[in-house]
Amino acid sequence: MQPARSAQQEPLGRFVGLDIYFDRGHLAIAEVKEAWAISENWSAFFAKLGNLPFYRAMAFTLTFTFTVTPLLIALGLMIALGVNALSERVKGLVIFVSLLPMIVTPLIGSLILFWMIDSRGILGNAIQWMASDPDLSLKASTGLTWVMLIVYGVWHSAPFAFVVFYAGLQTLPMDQIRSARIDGASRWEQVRYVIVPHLMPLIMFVALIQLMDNFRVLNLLSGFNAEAHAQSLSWIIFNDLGGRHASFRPRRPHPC
Amino acid sequence: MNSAANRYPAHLKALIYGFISLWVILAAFPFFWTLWGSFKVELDFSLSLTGQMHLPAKIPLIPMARLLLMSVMPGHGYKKEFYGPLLTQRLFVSLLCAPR
Repeated sequence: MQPARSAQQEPLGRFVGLDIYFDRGHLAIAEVKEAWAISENWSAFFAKLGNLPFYRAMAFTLTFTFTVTPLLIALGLMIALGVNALSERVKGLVIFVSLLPMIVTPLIGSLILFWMIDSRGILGNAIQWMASDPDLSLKASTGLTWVMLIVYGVWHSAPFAFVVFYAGLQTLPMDQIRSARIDGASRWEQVRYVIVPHLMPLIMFVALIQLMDNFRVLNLLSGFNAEAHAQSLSWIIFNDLGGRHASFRPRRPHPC
Repeated sequence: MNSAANRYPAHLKALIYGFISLWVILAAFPFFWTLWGSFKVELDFSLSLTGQMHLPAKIPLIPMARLLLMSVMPGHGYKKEFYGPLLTQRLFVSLLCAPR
């Protein structure tokens, strides 16, 4: 018969304090120090960082945020300028269709695109035909998965920028446009020196909102089933808190 | 910016309408594709696991036409070289054998 375990000799647990944030699943301080010590150059150092979950998630999150945000602002502005120049008869219909990508929830929208890029889907099939490679799969490549996530991010968020900029274009003072035209400004110069400065407060507003929205990307990864290729900071937090498995946890019967 | 103050040259107008048309297609196509693929006819369930299609001798005209159309569109899994001749034969039989 073994002697009774002493709580002091073999404690069930121990106080870790902030150490839990420094382990490999989080900031990985020791692993980063080791990587810094043994790496011969920056690319080797970043390659080793890419094996650490937190830094891999940070890389995707920052890439997604700072790629999608400027692209959606540019695309939204182009759509707003284009729609503003349309005939009144088609303007309403085009605005309605332009807002569709924003109406659908990201989880469902990403699921639709997930089906389309499948090898049996219309986009997957078309890309295989264009590349003359029947084995090409967008879902099997980490780089292409990142590209698809970024494409979806721009497609989903550009309507928000469009509708804000379109509203701003209605407040554009025509005197400034006429003065610029009289001074010989081309259409590009009118856009660059009159319209964009007039819309700058709205551009800053859209940039701030979208930076926050894109930084907390999470639903796309579930809809695209892309967790093996891309993890975001929100996904790491969600996974860390056990949210991924909470729905599968069996309910305990009530003791009464 | 009212339309009276903006008289666009023809090439710029073509560029604007072309870009907006492209954007409208990009924005709406996933939903159209999902809606198109959600309509299933009875024959869609005739495929066995081996890919063999078990077709009745007489097939209504509209489902037959839809299957023929889908056989030439990518992304539906209906291979034209496999189903095309078979469906054409069935269509011919359906047209010849009038329902009583």
